[in-house]
Amino acid sequence: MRWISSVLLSLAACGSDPMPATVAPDANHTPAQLTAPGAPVVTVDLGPVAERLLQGTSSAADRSTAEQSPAALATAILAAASKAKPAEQGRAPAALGALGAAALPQIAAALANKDPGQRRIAALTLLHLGPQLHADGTAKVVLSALAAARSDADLAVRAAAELAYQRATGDTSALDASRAAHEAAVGRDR
Amino acid sequence: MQHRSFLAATLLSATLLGTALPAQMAGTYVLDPNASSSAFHSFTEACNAMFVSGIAGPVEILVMPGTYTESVLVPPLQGASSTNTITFRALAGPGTVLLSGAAGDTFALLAVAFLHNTSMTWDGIDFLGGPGHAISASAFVEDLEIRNCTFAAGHRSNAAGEYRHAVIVSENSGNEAGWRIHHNHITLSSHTNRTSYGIYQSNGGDWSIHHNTFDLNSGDTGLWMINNNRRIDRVYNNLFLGQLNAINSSYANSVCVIRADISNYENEFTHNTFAVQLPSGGCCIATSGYLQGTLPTQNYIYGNIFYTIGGTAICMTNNGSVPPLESNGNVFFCPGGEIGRTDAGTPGATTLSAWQTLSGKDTNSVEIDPALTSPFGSTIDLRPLPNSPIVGIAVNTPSYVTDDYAGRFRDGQPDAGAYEATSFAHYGQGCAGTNALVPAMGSTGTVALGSTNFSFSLTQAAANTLAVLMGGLSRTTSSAGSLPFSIGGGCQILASPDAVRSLISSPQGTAAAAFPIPSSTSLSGFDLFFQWAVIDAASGSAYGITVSDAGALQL
Repeated sequence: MRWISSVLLSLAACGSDPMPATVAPDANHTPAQLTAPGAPVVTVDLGPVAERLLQGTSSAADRSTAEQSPAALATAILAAASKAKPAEQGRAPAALGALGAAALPQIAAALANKDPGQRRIAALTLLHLGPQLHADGTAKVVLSALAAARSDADLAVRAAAELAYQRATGDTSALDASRAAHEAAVGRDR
Repeated sequence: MQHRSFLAATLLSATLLGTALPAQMAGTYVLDPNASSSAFHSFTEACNAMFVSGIAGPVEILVMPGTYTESVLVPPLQGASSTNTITFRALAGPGTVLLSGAAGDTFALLAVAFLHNTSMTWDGIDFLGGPGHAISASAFVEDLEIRNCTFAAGHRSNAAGEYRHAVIVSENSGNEAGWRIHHNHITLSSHTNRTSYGIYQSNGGDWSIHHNTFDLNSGDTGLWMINNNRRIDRVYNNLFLGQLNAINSSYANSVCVIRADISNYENEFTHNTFAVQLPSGGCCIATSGYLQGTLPTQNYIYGNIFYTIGGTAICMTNNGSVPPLESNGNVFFCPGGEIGRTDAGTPGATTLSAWQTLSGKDTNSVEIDPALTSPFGSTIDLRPLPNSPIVGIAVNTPSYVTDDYAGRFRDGQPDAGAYEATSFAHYGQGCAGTNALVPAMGSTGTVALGSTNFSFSLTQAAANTLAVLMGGLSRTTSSAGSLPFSIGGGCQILASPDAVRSLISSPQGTAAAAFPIPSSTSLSGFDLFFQWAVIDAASGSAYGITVSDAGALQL
């Protein structure tokens, strides 16, 4: 019966929210502790910030929040976007991408979230970031998560993860094959 | 162990899918950068949303007028299909949505074998240029439609490893549903550091490319069809103009308006007009392959006009004992160049008779100036002049070629090239009356400006009854509403009844109405539409009227 325990453990891991333990699980009301040099610790609810970013109505203060707490905000954006209107969902990859490398672990972790909407948004974001990930040699955690997502149960996630993985690893095999076929055709048509 | 693995996978899937996906998209949406947060502000946002939500029905994205600069990455969109299509449509029509690429291809569509990217349409978008192709597609991208769009020069890829500049690129795997590219104006980028293409199609099949204008603009190849595919591609009613890259080569297929690779079979190039300036190393259609064993004919070249300056009209390569093409009903006018070669590197035939001897093809083709309005120069107009000799030259016109570049009907003996010259063409169907006969529209005499003997005829009508010839300027609208207009019993009004002429049918159920055609050249290009209506109690229409099929008098 060891395999049953193993499966249940795996299921438990997959079903858990990937957010760090220090962040509350309710993404609509995600608190983050912001600190500035010499200033007292301030707790900010990131849910509304995420919503404003997705609505395109963010303020300078929101953008400052994003700079100070990109990881937690990424988690909040993913959760908010999954349940948002289409136009707001459409802005999620750009909003997540703008958070920079510090948010990549949270985006990558979302590939294993139980919510398929979050998984799709995460995979799409990484697809958009593909070449940047390739240029950034520190993105091993992302590649590992993408590799796992290539067998996701959701075909859309699986497809985006597959394509993102190719772009992130600088896979040019398709273009190389195209060029080879082209040159062969030119040669035999003489 | 297999059972256990299956169970584990099932449990895992059930858990992962335990949370529902967002509501899927269907219906009409707005793309407006200046609108509220509920509208899409960019093409990218729209595609992202469709990816996240999926598609549950046809989606139309109405794009507000404006200037857009972005490169759009489109992953496969789950739920999209030939039924659940996705359309980006310029709300105010062509010329209002100006789109430039920002970093890479303006639209790059990606797909994988297990989830295709399918059924996207661009309608009325103006692609201005950018650092990449205008539209590129990987394998498993299929069933795309590009219509009423313009593609300006300046789509130049600078991607690492890329080897070409192309407006549209498709790298299919061989079994994808074909694309439809029509009613566009496609301008190539001139040749610079990379070979320049209009449409680069690899492993494509079942494509329709029609009613487009290709401005060659010193590029290398207007349409390149490469790699193994035996499904028919249909290329018809296109205008090819301008000049190709002035390459210095002894091979006539170094640059081509159309080039079909040796393993790309069964393509139909019909009713196109080529008015192009070619270098010695250039041709209009390069066709290759061996007609041996079970391999089908590679290309069918029927009813085209080849007006070339320099170069070669048709260039064969790698042909075996039998030329791997069928070619006929074409008009050749190739001053300073060749009509055809049977080997790319060997000088060919400079006259039609020599070409017929060399190839055994084009037995019903003609060699003559097609008398086009303005084939070269700063203002190009490839319509035939009223006295053009292209009339009725085409043979083997495919059944899907029912109209011309301008939307005019093809008549029973179609003209060569993309335009149908002065003609009388039938359209629509009549409805039955006495003795179950359907009145039939016909004509006698010459269809030409200044003709004094042209006449409309009616046959198969009821005898000795009122027959009315209705005529007007439209076949789509009338003072009574849009056309066709049903009067019941399967009878439809097909021509705007702006004017009528009443006659009494003969005892044989016939009638005729003379219609002298004025000689004024200002009438050239006008279309008039006619239909007979006959009083007949046996009609299924409650009005007691039968109607004939209709006729378009295209001047």
